[in-house]
Amino acid sequence: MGIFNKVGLITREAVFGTKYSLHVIFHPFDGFYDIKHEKKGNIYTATLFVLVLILIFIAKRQFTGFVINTARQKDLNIISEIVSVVLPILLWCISNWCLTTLTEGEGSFKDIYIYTCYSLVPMILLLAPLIVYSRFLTVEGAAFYSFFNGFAYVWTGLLILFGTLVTHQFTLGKTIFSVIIVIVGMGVIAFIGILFFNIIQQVIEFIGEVILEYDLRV
Amino acid sequence: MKKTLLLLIAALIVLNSLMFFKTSASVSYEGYTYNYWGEKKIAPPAFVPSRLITSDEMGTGALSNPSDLFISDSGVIALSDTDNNRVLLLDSEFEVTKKITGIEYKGVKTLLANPEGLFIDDDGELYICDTGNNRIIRLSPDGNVIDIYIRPDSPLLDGYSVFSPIRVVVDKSKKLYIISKGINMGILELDENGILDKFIGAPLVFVNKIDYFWKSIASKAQTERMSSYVPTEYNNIYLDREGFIYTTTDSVTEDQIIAKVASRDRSTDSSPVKRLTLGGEDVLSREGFFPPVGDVKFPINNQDYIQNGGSERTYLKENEKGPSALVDVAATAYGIYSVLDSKRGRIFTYDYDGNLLYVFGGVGAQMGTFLGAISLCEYDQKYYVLDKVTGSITEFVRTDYGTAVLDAINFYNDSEYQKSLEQWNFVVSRDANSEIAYLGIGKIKLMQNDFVGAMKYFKLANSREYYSKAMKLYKNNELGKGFGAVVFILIAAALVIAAILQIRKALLVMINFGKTDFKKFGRND
Repeated sequence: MGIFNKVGLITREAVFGTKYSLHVIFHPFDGFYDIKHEKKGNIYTATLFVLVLILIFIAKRQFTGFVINTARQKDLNIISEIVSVVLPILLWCISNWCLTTLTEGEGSFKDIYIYTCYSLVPMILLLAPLIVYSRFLTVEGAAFYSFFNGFAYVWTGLLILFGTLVTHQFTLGKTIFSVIIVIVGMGVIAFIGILFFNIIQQVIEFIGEVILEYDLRV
Repeated sequence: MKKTLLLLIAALIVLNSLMFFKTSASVSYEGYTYNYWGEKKIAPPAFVPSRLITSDEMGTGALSNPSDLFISDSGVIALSDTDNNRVLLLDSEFEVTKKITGIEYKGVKTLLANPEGLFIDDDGELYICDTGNNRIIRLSPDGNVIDIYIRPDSPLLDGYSVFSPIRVVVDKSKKLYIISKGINMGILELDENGILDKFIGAPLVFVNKIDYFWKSIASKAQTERMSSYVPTEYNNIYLDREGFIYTTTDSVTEDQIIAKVASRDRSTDSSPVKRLTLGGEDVLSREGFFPPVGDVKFPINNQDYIQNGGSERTYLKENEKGPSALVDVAATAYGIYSVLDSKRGRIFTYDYDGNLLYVFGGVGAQMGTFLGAISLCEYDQKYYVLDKVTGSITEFVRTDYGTAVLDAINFYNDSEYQKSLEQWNFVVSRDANSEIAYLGIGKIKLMQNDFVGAMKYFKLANSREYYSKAMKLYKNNELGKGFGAVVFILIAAALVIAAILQIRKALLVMINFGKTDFKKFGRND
């Protein structure tokens, strides 16, 4: 009963928070400030946004109108789609947290996660109807589609930029500089991650070979 | 009871064994095509070998490295037996009627030396590229020498020491179009008197700025090892009934082909096959899924083996790697043309728009496969392929599948849509993967104003352009009747939004009985 309660509360928090996000995306400076200092955002809503975005990307891949859609529907790999959304977000948050600590940013990991995920809302709001619209498009209308598609990404990008500015209390110049080094940091973390996995793989292979040798010789 | 059971089992055994008596002929190769995604899809063979004409049957003695087979519109057959220094004329049964080993011109007798390309024009005049003697011989139908064309006396040829004609075609005004070994400025256009008018079809070479930079600072030794930017040489030419010249070349690199395929490139750059106007402009339509290059996917030259799952490896032979090497082209009515890939012994046939229709042929020693396919001719709805290694000619005839494809296209071009539809339906019944058939059906539906049906088939055919066309027409059509639909959609949208709000409310109510735990989250409303 207690768990059911907890889940209910989490869902409640998540759904409540969505209303405020509409305010945030149109008034980022106020919105992000209030999220941080007046606790108007919460991590459950943030995670809800990520989940909804995953669904939207999958729907986009599968249901976008034939004229524009060059993906092969039957080759959908859900794991791949989920990772392609979650991984960049996590990488960004981790890299952001690591590097903004060095540049004396004031945001905690929780703050970073929340403002990043709230910035995804324009993508959710724009891409969903765009999928429907794309089904009625002709080749000439593809220009409209590209425009709105790009616009969603640009809006999200700007929100992330302003979120960084407000949450860490940077000047604009420092924000741009931070964003650049955070992106570089993402690359470094990804690289080290791959390296790490490769090395572990080789160690395991080596141990396996040693065991095999032992087996055959003794 | 037991008796009927036994009878039943016996009947089932008999019925099952009937399936071993198949009536379809098996061919030494598999027919196939490439779908939108570049996957090789097995298809019923469109052409099957019907006759292997060996030199014994021809009555000529073994052929040695023959290079060209030519069949004129009136059925005269000429074959250049290159390393035997002779040209053979054959009748319609492929039995030799004449062996030309030498000529007499202005009192001087000369022998042929490694003759290669042949051409017979509408007046029955035979043109022989006497390559070893650096000349082209023009013979009348009764074998008299009308003219001999040697190296034109033109400043355009300064810098080229040798005139070595390997292929020639002649148009209605008796102009000669010649490919010469070692001359890469395009096709030489000579007038009837042997005067060089111009070059046509010289491929433009675009130098990549980055490569140019590296070349400019590289040492001599390094420059020699870089690929040079010479225009590619054509290896064959073909004159079609409308006066266009098809050209083939096999000197396009593997990287260029892979790049063209990956980007579905429709331009004329680095194209192994072109269709030139007499002014030299390439007008070949490349609207298919991929540009016409022969095989679209192939193991690359650096790859030594294919991993078949687990630790199984199949080591690749030389001819299984790398792109197709196109060496000849033959065109038929309605812009349908076929190219010959000498590397893997296959014939690829494309329609006017550049859609791949079917592929047949292969490498091997059985009838229908080749060891050195070098020349392709089409005559009377049959294909003839000359194999330079075995010195034999293979004749291919249509199957019912091949006939259906070609008839469907021909009926459509003649505006006989119902007949075309029947043929395409037959094609689909034999090969459900046939995107070209779905495209054909879609186009017919479009003609019949069945826009919804057309859209369905264009989607199956993976044709976004036609799908868009059909959708546009559908929307235009429906716009009049559309008003009701628009209103309906607005109401439906309003209902959906209302529903979402209701669901949200309901969710909040449902999960609200944990109200007392509110304070745990530190909210104070």
